[in-house]
Amino acid sequence: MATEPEAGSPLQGRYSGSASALFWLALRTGLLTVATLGLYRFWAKTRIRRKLWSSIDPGGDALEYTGTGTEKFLGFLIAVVVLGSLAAVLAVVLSFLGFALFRPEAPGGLTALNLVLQNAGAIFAPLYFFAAYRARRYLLSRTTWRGIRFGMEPGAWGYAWRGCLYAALTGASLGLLWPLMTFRLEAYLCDRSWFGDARLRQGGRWTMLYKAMTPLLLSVPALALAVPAWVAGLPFSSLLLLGAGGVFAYGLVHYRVESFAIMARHKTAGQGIRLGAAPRPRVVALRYYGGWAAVAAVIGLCGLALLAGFARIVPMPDLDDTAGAAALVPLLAGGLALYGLVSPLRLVFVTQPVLAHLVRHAWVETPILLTSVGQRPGDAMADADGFADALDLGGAF
Amino acid sequence: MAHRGWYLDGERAGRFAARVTAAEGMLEIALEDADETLRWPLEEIRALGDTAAGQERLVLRLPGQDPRLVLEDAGTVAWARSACPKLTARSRDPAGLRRVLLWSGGAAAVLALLLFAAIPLLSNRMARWIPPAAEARLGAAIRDQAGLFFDAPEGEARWCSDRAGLAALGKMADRLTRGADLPYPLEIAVLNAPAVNAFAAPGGHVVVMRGLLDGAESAEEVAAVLAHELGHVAHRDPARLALRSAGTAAVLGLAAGDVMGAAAIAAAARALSDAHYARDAETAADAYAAERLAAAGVSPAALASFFDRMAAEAGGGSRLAALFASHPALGERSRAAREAAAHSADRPVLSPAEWAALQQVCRRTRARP
Repeated sequence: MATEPEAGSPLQGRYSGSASALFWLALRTGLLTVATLGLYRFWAKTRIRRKLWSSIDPGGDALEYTGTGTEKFLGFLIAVVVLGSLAAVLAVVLSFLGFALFRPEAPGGLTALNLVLQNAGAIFAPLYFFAAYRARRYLLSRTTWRGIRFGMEPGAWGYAWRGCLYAALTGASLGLLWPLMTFRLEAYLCDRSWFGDARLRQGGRWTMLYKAMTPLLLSVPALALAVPAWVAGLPFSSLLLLGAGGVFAYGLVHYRVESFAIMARHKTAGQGIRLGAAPRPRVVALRYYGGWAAVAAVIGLCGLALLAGFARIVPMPDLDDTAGAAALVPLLAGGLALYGLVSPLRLVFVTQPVLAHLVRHAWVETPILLTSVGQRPGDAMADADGFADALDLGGAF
Repeated sequence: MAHRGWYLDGERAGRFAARVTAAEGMLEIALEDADETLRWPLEEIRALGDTAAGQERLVLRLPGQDPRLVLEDAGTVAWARSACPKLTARSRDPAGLRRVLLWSGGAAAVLALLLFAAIPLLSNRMARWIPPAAEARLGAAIRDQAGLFFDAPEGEARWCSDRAGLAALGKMADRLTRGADLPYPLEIAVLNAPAVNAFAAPGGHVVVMRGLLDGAESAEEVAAVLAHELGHVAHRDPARLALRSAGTAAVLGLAAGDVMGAAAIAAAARALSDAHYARDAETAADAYAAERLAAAGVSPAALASFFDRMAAEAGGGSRLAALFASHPALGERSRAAREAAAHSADRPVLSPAEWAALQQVCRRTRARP
């Protein structure tokens, strides 16, 4: 039986999810999603979140996810109607401009016109940030710990223009201002977040995140040497390229993990409740890339087995006649089933191991102060995370 | 015997030790540190589902309320499972289903309105605002691009250029457009391809394929098809269609989300809505053709006879079936054309010599139209 932690000791994060239970839940709900042409995905997402949330139990009390599939479905309907109207008008107006301003002698001619029309989605960029904010607000408002709701203030449009601005700055500086973007956007989210009636605060400065960028910055000169060497075909250059690419790939995870941890250690809640996190980037990188390798291995082996089994049953189908093409149906069904396996495998091999490590290496200092935190009113949010869903901003769960 | 659990009151983030017993249909939760006992109706208690901690932990709640009762040892959990009869029952929300149906219907209605009313209206309006010169430039580019999909016979170029043949075609077009109000000057080209087809690109560009000239039994049949394409030009169909399908694609792409099955539905819906549009446009172009043919003194019967032969060939499963899939039932069209023919005079559209020249228009070819 869990007991109240002592006043002085920090409240350490605990994670107790089982891989097999999560896998079967994801597989079952995934099959239902396919069988209902995607309609069940709102309920599937809800059940998987409930499972993951209940695995996180700092101090013996698990998080609870209180969202429902129905509200997600209604939110999706709202988002589709709003975004659909917007997209329709935008597409027609953009096509009109493309036609009216068309110059065949301009470089590219038709090709350029097609490119512009196909990438008109860039106009949706602020909407992606908008949707990300709404999705986070929805997620927090449907999360409780010890019966107390988390929550977030409205502010999606402010996040949208800031997101675009910082993304532009990051791009213009070739990534050098990435820490500025990471810090300012996370601070914007954090400073509007609440646990019950305790407000969260982000402290620190954006420049402290440069420390997290070290491996990434080191990999840049290595890549700058390795790529031309490889193009020129120098000996051992492919090994060099592989090494530099590896450092780069590790650097990306290192930055994400370290920047998260540094910022977590500068977060406070309410009156002097300090938060902290010290995940190991190397462990996370191993779990992340290793997990994906495991997913790829399972899918690859199953795919090979499927092909081999199929070749044994049906020697060489003649695709020109209907009977031959019909013989391909089991192969296609097998392929579809394999596709359905990707998401459950990812949850088990990638998402859950990474999440478990992050949770286990996070803590709340002076948890005794938590008991004074009071409830906050619920947040209705009719659109739930519908905008994120309609814009395919999936996320890991 | 009392069981032990933790009570979360939903007001403060503390956990309160509690003794739990069942009596008279109620779960009695006695808080140890406060002199207080709470009573929950056993029938109404539900357990949280899909939780990670199988048998070791059970979280109880009353639907719609914040407090929770956490039971954390196997004995207590087993006791609670037998004491509360409806732990895993779904908490029914009759208003919920009605809301889902209502909202789904509403969303479907708005999307339908968007696809079949708002987007066509907007496209028709905006198509009229495209400057004719810009549309003609675009049309030329599209015509050239479309030409690339067809291969000319070995040793010949893609576009037919015999002077006398093109002159005959020009004369035919002149006769059909006399007195008609076209938004831009006509540009007709003959593509050196065996397909029995013709199409209109934006900006007054019309392409007739060699296969059509070979397959036609008279100049009147060619004139009938040409008049039909002129109808598309007069109604600015290519530009309207392009704008509309851009809008349709944007909406359906969004509604589909990221699931394969839904993507297939979206593709089917788009084909359906485009075909629906095309049928409207085709019927209007037929009416226009009948009117122009009559004005030019050419019997629309030619349109009918051409459609009849198309239908016979398409019925045989030839590739024409694919080409004409978006066109309204050919039988229907030929009937309409025949009715129009009953009221009109009949004058040959070209002299025999001109018709012969038109049939030979691909004697010479060139790379550009």
